Amino acid sequence: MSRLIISNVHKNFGPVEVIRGVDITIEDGEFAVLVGPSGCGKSTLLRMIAGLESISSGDIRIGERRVNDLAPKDRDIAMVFQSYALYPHMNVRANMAFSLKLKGVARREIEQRIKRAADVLGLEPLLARYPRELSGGQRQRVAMGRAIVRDPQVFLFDEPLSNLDAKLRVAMRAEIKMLHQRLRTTTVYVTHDQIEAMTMADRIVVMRDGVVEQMGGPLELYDRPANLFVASFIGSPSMNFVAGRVATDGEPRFLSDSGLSIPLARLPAAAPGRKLVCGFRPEDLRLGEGGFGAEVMVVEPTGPEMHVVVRAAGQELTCVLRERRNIVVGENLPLRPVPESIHLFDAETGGNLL
Amino acid sequence: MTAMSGQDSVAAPPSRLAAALSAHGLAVLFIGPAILLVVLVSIYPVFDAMSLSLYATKYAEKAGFVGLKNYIDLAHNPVVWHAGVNSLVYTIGSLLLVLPFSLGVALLLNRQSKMQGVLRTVAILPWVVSQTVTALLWAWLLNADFGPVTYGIDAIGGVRTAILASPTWAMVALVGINVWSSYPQATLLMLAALQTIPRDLYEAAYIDGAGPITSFLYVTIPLIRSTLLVVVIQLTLLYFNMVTLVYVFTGGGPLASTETLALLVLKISFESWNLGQGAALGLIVTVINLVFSLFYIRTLGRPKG
Repeated sequence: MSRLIISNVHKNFGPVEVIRGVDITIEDGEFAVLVGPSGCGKSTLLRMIAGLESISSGDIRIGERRVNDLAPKDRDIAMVFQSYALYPHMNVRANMAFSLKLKGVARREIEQRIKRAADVLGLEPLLARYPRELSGGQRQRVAMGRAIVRDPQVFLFDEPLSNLDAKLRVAMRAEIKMLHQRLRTTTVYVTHDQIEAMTMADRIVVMRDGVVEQMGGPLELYDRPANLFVASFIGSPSMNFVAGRVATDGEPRFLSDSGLSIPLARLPAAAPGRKLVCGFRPEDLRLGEGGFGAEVMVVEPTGPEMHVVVRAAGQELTCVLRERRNIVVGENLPLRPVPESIHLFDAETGGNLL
Repeated sequence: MTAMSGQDSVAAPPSRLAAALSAHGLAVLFIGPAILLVVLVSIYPVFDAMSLSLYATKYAEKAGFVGLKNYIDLAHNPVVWHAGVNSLVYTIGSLLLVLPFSLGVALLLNRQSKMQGVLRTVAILPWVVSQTVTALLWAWLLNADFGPVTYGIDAIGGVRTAILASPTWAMVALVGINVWSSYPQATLLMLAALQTIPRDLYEAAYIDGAGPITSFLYVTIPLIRSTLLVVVIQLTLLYFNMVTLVYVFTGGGPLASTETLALLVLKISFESWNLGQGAALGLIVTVINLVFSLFYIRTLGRPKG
């Protein structure tokens, strides 16, 4: 059992509280991604799990043990750093052997473990090389190899792909995911890239200002964001937001301050009278009558779909269209959000009312 | 058509050559003065000394070719061998003290501290003081009659010391002030090297199970190795060739106990006015310097990683 339990954890740097009461349970074998904008505390939290930062209050448990006061080496974790942090004066083999050597593992056992990890990651031909002789992707793999040989209960990744170019990042993303599917080791992965979070995670933890905004599976977060922040953070291009109120007469409709009228599927009980924000995903803004007209500002064909930035009642909205038709800048499009996919958020608390 | 292209191919090389030449010319223009300077102040004197060392001299005049006589005389002179031993004691003794000391100070200065600016300034101060002033200052501090240090030792231990009158203690004191005056430059270089080591590496080592000493041995030392090499070579040359500090502090005494080879070159050349023999000894010192440097580069400079 290598469940990771973080309960009511706080962290202060002097008078500044950067982690403000975080509770997360990551199940055995789960791939959890901590995501959030920079400064949200995700890296600090990861470093607290690793033992690189002290815990101001609260508990962290790995498996059955409370690890608050344990040194990193005794926590049974392995960490992959953003910079890889490979020892430049050691070759790949020595880099991978270092922690085992310090632990006093027998030489034959070390060799076996290195061989096993090298097999998994395809590092065999690189073992005698030095880090400076490796490409970015190879260094990344060595860093993972160094983590694997320790056979830890928990893997910690600190933005491991941010130093790679876009194409390699996609490839390594898949590689890390496959590695996890093979090893099934509990993993905590920190990133600021929501696409990385969506594509890799079993469960995403969205953080902001030292608190957890929402936890859940990728689609759960995408389809049912708990609040405005999560709704705006997850998804690319990001969700459209329009401020306004619901109409109190006749059909359920949302009336924006700018004058747009948007049909709703249902009215939440708490909605009437309040200041609201209506949110709908770009792919839920479809061509069709019954909504509003919008002027095309920018057209970005991506191949399978088209990202179109439009202006409606003075407000910029993005829609993703699957129709293979010619759309020209300046054209007037009839648009309508899919009523079932609309979110209504309380303008003051940000909470999702639907 | 063919004629044209033929002409072209003939015409092209000279223009490329001209371009290369002008690029070359610019390079020569830039480095020429530096090369000239090196030739004038370093290379020419060496060859001049080589020639001079083969002559008997009378003051600054050559007084006849004597072949290797100057070298043979030096080899048979016990004073030279004694000075050689002194040079080794002085150089190696200073190195053995200055390396751990300067590295220790560098490690301390590398820690995050609010006082860092002040501490760095204080640590670098001895470097600012010229060797002459350092020597005079310490000669005064250790003076047997009115030196504050002598007075302090007397007050605490009730012993009246005459450090600079004892052959052994004079050398100890000389090594001590040498270390004091030269550690800052070593510290600065080491500090600069320490600051290039990313913090991630220490964190990775910490997670890998390395304590402070293991980190120091397996991360810090290997990563500042090339700087250490530079420091060791620099300091060895500095110490082995040191004249000012020794000359002003002890003048080579008492009983020639602090007389080093470098000082002896000066004395033979300009006190005994035997320039030929002085040149010969100077060349020998130069060769020893080269041997030292090559030895370090061979042993410490082995590329690893």
